[in-house]
Amino acid sequence: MSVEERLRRVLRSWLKRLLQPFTSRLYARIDNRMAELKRQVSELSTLRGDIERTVTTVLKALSNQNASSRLQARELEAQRAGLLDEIARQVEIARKEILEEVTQTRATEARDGVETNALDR
Amino acid sequence: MNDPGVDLRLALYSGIYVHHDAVSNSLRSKLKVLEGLHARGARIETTVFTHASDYRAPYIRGVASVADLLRHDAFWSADAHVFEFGMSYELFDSVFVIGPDRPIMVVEHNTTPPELVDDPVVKLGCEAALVQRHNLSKAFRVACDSEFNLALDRSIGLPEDRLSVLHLPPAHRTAPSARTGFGDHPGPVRLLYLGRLVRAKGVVDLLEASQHLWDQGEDRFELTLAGNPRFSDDSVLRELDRCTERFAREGKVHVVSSLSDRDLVGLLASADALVIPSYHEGYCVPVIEAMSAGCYVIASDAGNLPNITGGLGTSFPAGDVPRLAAAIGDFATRLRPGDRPRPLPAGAAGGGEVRVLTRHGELDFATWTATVARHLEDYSEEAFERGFLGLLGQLAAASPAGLSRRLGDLLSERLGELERT
Repeated sequence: MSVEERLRRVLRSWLKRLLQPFTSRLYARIDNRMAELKRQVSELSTLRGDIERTVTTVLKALSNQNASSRLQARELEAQRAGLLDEIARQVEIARKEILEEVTQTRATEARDGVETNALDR
Repeated sequence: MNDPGVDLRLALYSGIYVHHDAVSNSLRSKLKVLEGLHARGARIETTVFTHASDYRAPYIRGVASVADLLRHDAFWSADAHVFEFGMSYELFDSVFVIGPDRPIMVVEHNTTPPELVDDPVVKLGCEAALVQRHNLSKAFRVACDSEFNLALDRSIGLPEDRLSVLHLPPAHRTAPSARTGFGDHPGPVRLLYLGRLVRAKGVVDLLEASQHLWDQGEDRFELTLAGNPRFSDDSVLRELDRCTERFAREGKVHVVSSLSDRDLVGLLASADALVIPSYHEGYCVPVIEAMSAGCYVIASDAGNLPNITGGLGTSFPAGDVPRLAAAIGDFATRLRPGDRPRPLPAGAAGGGEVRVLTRHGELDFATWTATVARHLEDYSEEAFERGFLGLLGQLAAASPAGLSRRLGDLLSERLGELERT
């Protein structure tokens, strides 16, 4: 081994010892930073999963809500139609009753000789 | 950056897009029509979104969830959206994200009623579909693949002006029938069942009716059941095993569990009648395929079967095993009037004088064939293309892209050609 080579080795070893505290600190900082980044990536991944699940859940809830609103609206419509039918039925009964009453009154008045119009009362 | 030269950006959706699946075939038929337009010079950007596919094409995007779908530019840039709907699937909930200016079309395929389903997972899917069906209220157009499905969508209060019927074409192209008459072959009458081996399809009823007839000495027919055991109910498979144990050795019952498209076409071409004893059918493509192959149909009166058979087969009340047995017995007697199968020499013409039962009276082979051909015109590829092109024009016109002059001209040109044929 030449003198030059030997000197280079000594110098390298001396430099290594000299810088050792700095490099250790540097490596520690790099390790810490890497751990922090890994933690952030993991958090982001969890967040992404949460968002994806939320999107699915919200859309599913919208679908369910849409179905129940439509069913409710149709039920109300059917009830309203039923109510209108019932009112029409009651009106028809009342109309027939009035007509019957008028007919009977006219018959009675004709029999008793009173010339009045039942509808004038 | 959107390409201004594009006529229409279309996003199509299906829960799954796979071979040998009726809903997937509906999507495939649309893609075929779109390819035809593309070949004529239309510039339609098509993207298919699906949870799973065994087709490979650059425009097919597998997406795991609706959140995954929302990450795709092709979803946001689509001018119009076309959904296939039968079973519940997550992507169909994306109708609540699509802007009101982007028209949505849904193809209604119907869902098996949950009470007819034994598999708990499938049952849940069917129940969810009953709720998800109301997503149709977001659709600009709903194309029902059958009159039965049209009635279903009317029943949930969808406006009449959004509804139409778009019959699906047959999935398999059958060769023109070489038959010379009903039962024109030696040996017993050949009955065929085609479909999933599940309770809702009435397979157990068919086995019961056939065994009853065989037990009584009726040996003028044999039965082939073709269905994938993977999509079958265990209870039905057990019943089928019991039946094959007793009758397979005598050649009365055959089971085909793996079938290529060519095998299927061959089966339809050689069968005398297709038997569909279902408790529910939203459409029933096999009926169309069977009739196209000159095969008679014995079907229950469930769901869409009375519409799709057009009264050109024998109908019996769903679940009525004695009436099903009577229908099979009557058909066997008409084709083989003697006590025993009439042994026709191979290649000999026969059955020309046989008349079959239809809603239009008893018809001979020539009249039945001509009437079936007229009935099938409504279920042809051409009829489907005509209907879909019309709907596509409406979708384009209602979209932000509008109906471009080029696309409008191409649609008119093709519709004119179809009109002339």
